[in-house]
Amino acid sequence: MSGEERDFSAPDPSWVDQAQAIRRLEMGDPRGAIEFLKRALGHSPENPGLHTLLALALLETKRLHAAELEAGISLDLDPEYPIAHRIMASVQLAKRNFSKAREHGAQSLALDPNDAQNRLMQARILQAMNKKEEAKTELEMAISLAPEDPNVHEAMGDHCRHHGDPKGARKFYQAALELEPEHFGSLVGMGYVLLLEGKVEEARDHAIWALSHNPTNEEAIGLITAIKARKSPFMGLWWRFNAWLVGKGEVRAMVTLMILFVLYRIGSQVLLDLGQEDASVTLRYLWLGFAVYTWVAPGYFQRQIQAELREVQLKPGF
Amino acid sequence: MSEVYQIPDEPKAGRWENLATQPLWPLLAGMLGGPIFGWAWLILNALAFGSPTIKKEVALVLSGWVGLIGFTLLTFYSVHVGLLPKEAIPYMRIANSVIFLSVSYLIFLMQNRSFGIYEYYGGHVASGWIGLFIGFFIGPELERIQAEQLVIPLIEALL
Repeated sequence: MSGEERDFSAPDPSWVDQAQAIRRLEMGDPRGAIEFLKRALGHSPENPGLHTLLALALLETKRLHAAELEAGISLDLDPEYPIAHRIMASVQLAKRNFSKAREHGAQSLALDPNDAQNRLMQARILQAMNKKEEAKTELEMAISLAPEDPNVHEAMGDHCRHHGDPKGARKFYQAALELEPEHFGSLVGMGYVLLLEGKVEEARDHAIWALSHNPTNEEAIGLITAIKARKSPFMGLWWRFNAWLVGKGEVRAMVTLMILFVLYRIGSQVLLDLGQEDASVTLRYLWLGFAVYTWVAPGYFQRQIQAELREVQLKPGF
Repeated sequence: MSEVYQIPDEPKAGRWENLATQPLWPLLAGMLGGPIFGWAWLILNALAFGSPTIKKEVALVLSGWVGLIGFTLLTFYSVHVGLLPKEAIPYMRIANSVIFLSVSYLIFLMQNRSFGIYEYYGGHVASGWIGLFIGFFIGPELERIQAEQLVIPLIEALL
């Protein structure tokens, strides 16, 4: 056998690791998947599929910079790989870089227009850009392409929920749950719908179920937090403030806080210059209170939610 | 090739791994003890846990330091030549706080991302209390030395 011929009797060791990684990803364990993919890439560093899978796993663990690099490597190796474009679009969306997200979303769609996942990606980008109707059209196309896929119904449910249509959301979540009775995202989404309808106890059952299956899922944590925030104005205020900041992205949130800080310092100095020393001191105490509150509230809130998770049991037959 | 692939954002711990601490501690130390101590500790921390963005962090610290001194000189020069009234000095000092906080927070964000990975792979994490305590006492002293030995002579030379 010449050096260039492959020995097909011996399996490529990266296949085993790749299969394990896919299994880990399906089980909701992206960190475990990363370990297998690192090993697989040790054997096959030029495999664009492996780099794409690694980008996906990194995206799921919020390592956006590394995910972007890995999706980029995959696209360098194969510029016409639609899944890599889709993952890159997801990464850019997570980084709130809408123009790049749209560019890669469009390329994945152009390469494979009949893939419902590409349509879903496009809908997510359009939704983030507040293009409600265009997003809805993409979602309708995704449903027509893959009517048996609960994820597309869930996405339409999410779209309805985010645009103030709990009835529509309920209809699509139910459709997804008929296809897959334990569909995670739809059960969480249904929890949000119940909360919007004022059925707090039922919504809590959904949150508890979701967290018992995946304690780190952001949507599920968001649901239990929303339930808790509704009951406590003290924590609700922090939650809303935090959600508002998080929605801006890391750098914008930092700039916003910096603007607040500058306004506070200028206000305090202006009051001093105007001879309003008491008012200036009061403003300083208010800022100190704000700083302490934002420092203490997250930990306190976390403990309250953990206590809730310990105390509350699922109703039999949920 | 059969070695394990290295992902670009993964830290490579250095020989000072035992000094690696949560980046929040140097950030707090900077707030209590001033930029010199806080930034020096942030760079030491980057070396300790092998931050993959250490070059950017060093560049940020250097530009922040030049920015702080430059802005102070600019403020005094502007007051001296009558571009700004003396009463503007406290307002101009707010900009120094903004420069310090922006640089510190950006480095904190960079380190925080990789530090999570470092911790996940079982890296050693030291407590930052002692550093914070030292920063509280030593930091202001370092600021005073910098002001006396560098900033005031520069202002005198400029004016």
